[in-house]
Amino acid sequence: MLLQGFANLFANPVTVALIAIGDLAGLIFGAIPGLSAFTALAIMLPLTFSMEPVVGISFLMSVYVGGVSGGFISAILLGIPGTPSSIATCFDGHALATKGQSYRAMGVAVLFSFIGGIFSAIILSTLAPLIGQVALRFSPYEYTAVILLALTTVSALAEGSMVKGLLACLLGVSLSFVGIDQLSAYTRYTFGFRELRGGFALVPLLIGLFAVSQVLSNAAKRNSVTPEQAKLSVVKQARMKGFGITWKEFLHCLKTAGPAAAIGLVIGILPGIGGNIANLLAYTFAKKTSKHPEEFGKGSIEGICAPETANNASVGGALIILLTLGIPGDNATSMIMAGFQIHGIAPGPLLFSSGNVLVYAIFAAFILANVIMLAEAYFGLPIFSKILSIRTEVLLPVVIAFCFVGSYSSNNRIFDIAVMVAFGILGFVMKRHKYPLAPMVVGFILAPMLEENLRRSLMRSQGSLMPMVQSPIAVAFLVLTAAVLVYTVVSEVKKSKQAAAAAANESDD
Amino acid sequence: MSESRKDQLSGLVFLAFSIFVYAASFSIKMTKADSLGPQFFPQIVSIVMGILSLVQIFSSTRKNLKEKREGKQTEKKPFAVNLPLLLSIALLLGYYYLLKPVGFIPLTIVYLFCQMYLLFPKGSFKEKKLLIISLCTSVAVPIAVYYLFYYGFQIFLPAGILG
Repeated sequence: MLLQGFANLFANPVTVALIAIGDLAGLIFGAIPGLSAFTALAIMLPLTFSMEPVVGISFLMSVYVGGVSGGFISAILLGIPGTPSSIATCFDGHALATKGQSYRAMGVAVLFSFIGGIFSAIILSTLAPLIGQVALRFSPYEYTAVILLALTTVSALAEGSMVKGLLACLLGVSLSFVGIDQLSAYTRYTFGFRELRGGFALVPLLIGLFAVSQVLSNAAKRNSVTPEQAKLSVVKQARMKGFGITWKEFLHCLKTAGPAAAIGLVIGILPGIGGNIANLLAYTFAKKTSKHPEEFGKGSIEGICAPETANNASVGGALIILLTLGIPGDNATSMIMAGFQIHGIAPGPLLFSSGNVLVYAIFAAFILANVIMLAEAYFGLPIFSKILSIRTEVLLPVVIAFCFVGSYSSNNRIFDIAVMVAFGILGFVMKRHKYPLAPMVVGFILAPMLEENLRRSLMRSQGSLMPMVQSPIAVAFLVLTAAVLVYTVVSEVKKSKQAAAAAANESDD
Repeated sequence: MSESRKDQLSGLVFLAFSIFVYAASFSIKMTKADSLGPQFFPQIVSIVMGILSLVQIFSSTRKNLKEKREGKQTEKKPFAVNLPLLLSIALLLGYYYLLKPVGFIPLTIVYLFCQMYLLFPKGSFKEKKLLIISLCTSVAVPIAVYYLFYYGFQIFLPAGILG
């Protein structure tokens, strides 16, 4: 099946070329601090409108892979994570760079990004069809339970307090009410606006919340920075051959990469937390289990290999849950979800029924995207360091210009630009008040599914919740949901007690 | 505004929003075919949201009172208008209103340059190099994008005065 996917892929050279372009664009965006895989996807999405579904989605996959990988470039050269998924890469990567060994650091990062990506691609293509088969047998009861679990984990594990996460999530859910009710075909919450009958479109909503809000927060900070502070300096580095590490070092690192890849994959599967948590967690794990923990933070190559393996492995994990259940875990996967919607494909278990060629083409594209990423990142290393001298003040408005194009052309209406601007302002205000945005987006995307399944199950059981408790799978998901809630409440109480104790100690001094 | 004050305020906004969602659900037409109907889910969601916002208001008020008692309350800062922020919002809204009459290319050129000016720290444009880079990007990007989409993807952006 997978071979067939590859055959389909190579039959069309345009697809392969597009994957190469997508990877490169992703790498560049990932490398620039402030722009991430999400921004790259937002810009590239309108380009796929006129493509064939398989081609368009393969292209978006490659942008995603490149975007998650690219973060290491600025993390190592500047000590600034290019994307949130490369925070831990800074610790040792930049330490090596200050010693003039940035080439070696980047070699390790490229190599292990690839290994993490390929590992998760293999798991994705073997495990996803199995999960898809199971999910195909889900009744509305199980679906309701699994969506509840996804929404709770996203809200509870997001940064900030749990109550804020849940409120943001419910706000997203409420926003999804606008438009036509799927089951009864009556319009809701449109307040007489004809443009709102179809509800808010996902693309302008996403772009507004994440991209426009960022321009606004950068503009808000403008007067607190002087022109001199805004300049960044790049350190000159020695050039080396190959990936800059020996076979022995490579094999040694492979031992660290194993657990890191597993961590990344599992974190990726959980909705709401993605590359950034995987990156940090794998680093901490590698440091705790290493034979030389004292080298960490001073330029240990293990300390680069673990986080870089993990963040790329998390991509495959996130795709598993997106493809099999139709649940996006974070803002970048939401954007891929928007890509699916635009091409009229609903991700979910049905993709796996009837031996769909599309799924295997996507798997093949994902693997190929990782391979091409390795080649491009390897040969592009000297060029990437130059790209970092482009100023974000110039880039960010250009990103917004592309966002205008994306919002407008997804439905060919100017109204969607108003939606984008409105959500940009909302996103800015929410960030200011420390409300996480990811739960809101996931709530917005999953709410129609949740409502439909909840209402279907209650209709089926004539208003009783008993059948849901009788399904073992549904009960397992519900118990997990409760466990996540209890865990978060307990750890938040602990944290606030610690903070109170620290404050008390301070006042004693 | 202190952190707890901000939380109080946002809790109130969410409470108001949940009441609004609940109240507006009554104007949804009911169906006979489906026993639960299109009102059911919005009402549940708004009730849960209302409860959570009460929790938020309660906990932030308690925190606020505690801070007051301990005299930790910071002095009130005079309310300052953040001009770059407001102008950026105005630019975005202006873009929405003017896109149809003015068209993509000229409007985007203006938008890009103004937005770059609003992002660069004050006085950056005294440096000739930055000014030239900004100007060139502002002009080149919209033209390239317009023709890329026109010929490459058959997506037609509003032509406006040039059309």
